Amino acid sequence: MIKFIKKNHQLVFWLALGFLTRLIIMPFLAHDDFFLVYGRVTKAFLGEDNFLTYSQPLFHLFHGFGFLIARIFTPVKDIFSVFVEQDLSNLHALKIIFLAKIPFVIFEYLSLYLLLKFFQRKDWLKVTIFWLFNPVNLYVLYAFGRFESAVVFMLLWFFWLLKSQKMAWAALIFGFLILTRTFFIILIPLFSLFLGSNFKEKVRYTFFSLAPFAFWYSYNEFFLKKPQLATIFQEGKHGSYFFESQINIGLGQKIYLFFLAYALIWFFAWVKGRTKNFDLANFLRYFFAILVLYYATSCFHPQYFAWVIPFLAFLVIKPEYKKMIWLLLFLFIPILLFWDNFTTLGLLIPLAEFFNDFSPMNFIDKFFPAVIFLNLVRTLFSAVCFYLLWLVLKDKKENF
Amino acid sequence: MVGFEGQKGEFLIMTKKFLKTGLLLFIFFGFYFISLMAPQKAQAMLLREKSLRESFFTKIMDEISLFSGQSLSQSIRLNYDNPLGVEIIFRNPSIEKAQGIFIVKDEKKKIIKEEEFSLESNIQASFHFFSFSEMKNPKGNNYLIEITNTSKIPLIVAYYNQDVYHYGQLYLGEKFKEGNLQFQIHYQISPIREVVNNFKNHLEGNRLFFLIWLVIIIFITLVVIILAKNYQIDKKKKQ
Repeated sequence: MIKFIKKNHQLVFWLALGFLTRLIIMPFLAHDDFFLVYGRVTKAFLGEDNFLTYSQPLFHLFHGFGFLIARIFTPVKDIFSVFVEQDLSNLHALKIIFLAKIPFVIFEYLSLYLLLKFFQRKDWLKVTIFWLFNPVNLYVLYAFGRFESAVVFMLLWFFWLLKSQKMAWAALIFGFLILTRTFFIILIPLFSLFLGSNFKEKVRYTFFSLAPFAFWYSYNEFFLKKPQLATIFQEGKHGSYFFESQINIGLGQKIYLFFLAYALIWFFAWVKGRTKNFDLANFLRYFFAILVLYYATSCFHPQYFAWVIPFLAFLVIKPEYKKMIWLLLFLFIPILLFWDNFTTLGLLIPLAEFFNDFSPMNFIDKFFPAVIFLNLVRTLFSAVCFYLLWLVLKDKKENF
Repeated sequence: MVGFEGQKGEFLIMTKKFLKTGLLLFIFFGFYFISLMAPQKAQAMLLREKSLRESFFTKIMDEISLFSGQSLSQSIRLNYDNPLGVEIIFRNPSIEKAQGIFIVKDEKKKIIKEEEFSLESNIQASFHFFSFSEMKNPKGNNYLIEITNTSKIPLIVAYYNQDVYHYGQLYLGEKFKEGNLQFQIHYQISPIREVVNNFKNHLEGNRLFFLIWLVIIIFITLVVIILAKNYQIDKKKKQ
C-alpha cells in the first residue's frame, strides 16, 4: 500500500482530493427522487413491498446497501421518517443522507478501478482527474443523489468481460444492466449485431441478455398479475421520451427522429462497422454513438447523462476530443434549469425546505426569456453531441 | 532582411500576447461588473417578496366545488416559526359574490382563528390571503385549515388530484379525498438564520456523527496537503 502511494503519489493526491470533495458535500444536498427511491427500498426492507414489483428492480436493490449502512447507525423509525415521510426536520436527516450515499462513493471508486484497467499507466492521472472532477459525476451522484455509479459500474464490468472475451458472461451482465436501467434494452439490436460470430451464437447471447428482464417481466405479468410494460410508453413516462422528437409527414404519419438515426447508424454498422472477430473498440464506438444520439434528440433526466462519462473518459485523453468533451460537460449545467428549482437550489432542502421555493427561472426571466435561453443552450448541446457522434464514427483508430 | 523578419515576428508575438492579456482582462472585468450587479438584483427580488413562502401549487389545476353549507379541510404542518398566513386559490365565475368561513384549528381541534370572507363576482382563479393569528412555537406542529361555503352559489377551490403535499391530507366534509389544496404559506423569517438554526439543531442532535465526520475531513485534508507538497516538488524536479 505504502509502496503504491510512494510510486503513485500524484494519483493518490487526486484520489484523496476527490474523496474529500465528496465527503464535504454528501450530507447537505439531495433531490426529492433520492428520498422517493430510498422510501421504496425502506418499505421493501420492512416487508411492506416487494423489490421485484418495482420497475428497474436491481437499481432499487443496489440502494439496499445504503439502507443497511444507515440502519447500522440509525433507528428504523428515523430512517422511515426521513425516507418515507420525507420529514427533513428529523435530527438524523443529514446523517442518514450521508450514510445512504456511502455506496455511491464505493461504486464510483470501483468503477474508476475498472476504468483504469482499460488504460496504460501513463494515462491514469488524466483519466482519474476527469473521472473525479467532471461536473456530471459530482452533480448526479452527490448533489442530485442518484445511484448512477452502480449503473456505470455494471456498464464497465460488461465492457471488461467483453475485453476478456467472456462473451456469455458479458451478455448475462448486460441482462442485469437492463434490470438496473431499462434504457439499455434499446441497445439490444446493436448488441446482437456485434456479439457472436454466427447466427447460433448471436441468438444465444441475445437470449442471455434478455433472460433477466424476461424473468422479471413474466413474474410480474403472470405470477403477480401486475403488468409493467403497459405503462412504460404512456405520455409523460420515461419510455415516451424517445417518441417526442418527430417529423410530421402528413396524414397523421410521423417519423421518429431518434429511431430514424438509430436505424441509419445500425445499417452503417452492419455494412461497414462489423469485423469477423469481435472488436471492442468498434463496439464501443457504436454504443457511444447511440448514447449521444439519444442525448441529442430526446429529453433525458439529469442522472442519465452519467452513463456517458466512461465513454468520455476514453476519449478525453485524445487531443482532438478534449475541448468538445469539456464543452459538452459544461453545457450540461444550464440544462438543469429546465427543472427549475427542483434540480438547482431545491437540492439544498436538507438544510432548509424553503430552498424549494426559489425559482432561478423566474430570476432569469427578469432579464431574458428563460425558456428561449435554455432551448438555445439545449440546441448547442445537441450540436456538440452530433459533432462527437460524427467524430467517433469517422475515427478508425484501434483504440476507442 | 532576416533581422527585419525577426523583429516582425517578435512584434506579432507581442501583439498576440497583448491581445490575449487584453481579452483575459476584458473577460475578468466583465464578470466582475456582472457579479457586482447580480447580487443586488437577486437581493431586490428576495426583498420584494418580503416573506418566505412555502408553495404547494402546480400548473395543473383541478377544482372542487363546495355547495352551500359544504366544507373542506386540509391538514398542514408549519415548518417555520412566525407564520403570517396562507393563500388559497379560488375562482368565482358567478355574477353573485361568493361567501365563506375560513377556520384554523390546532392539533386538539381547538379553533384558533375564524374569519368570514367574500369573493368578488366574475373573478379568474387567483390567490386569496388569510392571515393567521399569533401562534406560540408553531414550527413542526400540525394544523387544520377549514373552508365552509356560506353562500348559495358554489365556492370553487383549486386543488391537485395527486398527493404532492407530504405533510397533510385533504378532507371533503369528513371524508378523505386524494390530492391536496393548492396553497402557499407565508412566514416572516430570515432564511440565513433558518439555515443556521437548522444546522445547529442537527449538530446538537448528532454530535458524535458530526465529530467523526469532521475528524475524517481534517485527516484527509492533511493527507491532501502533504501530497500536494510532494506534487509540487515532483513537478519542479521534472522541470
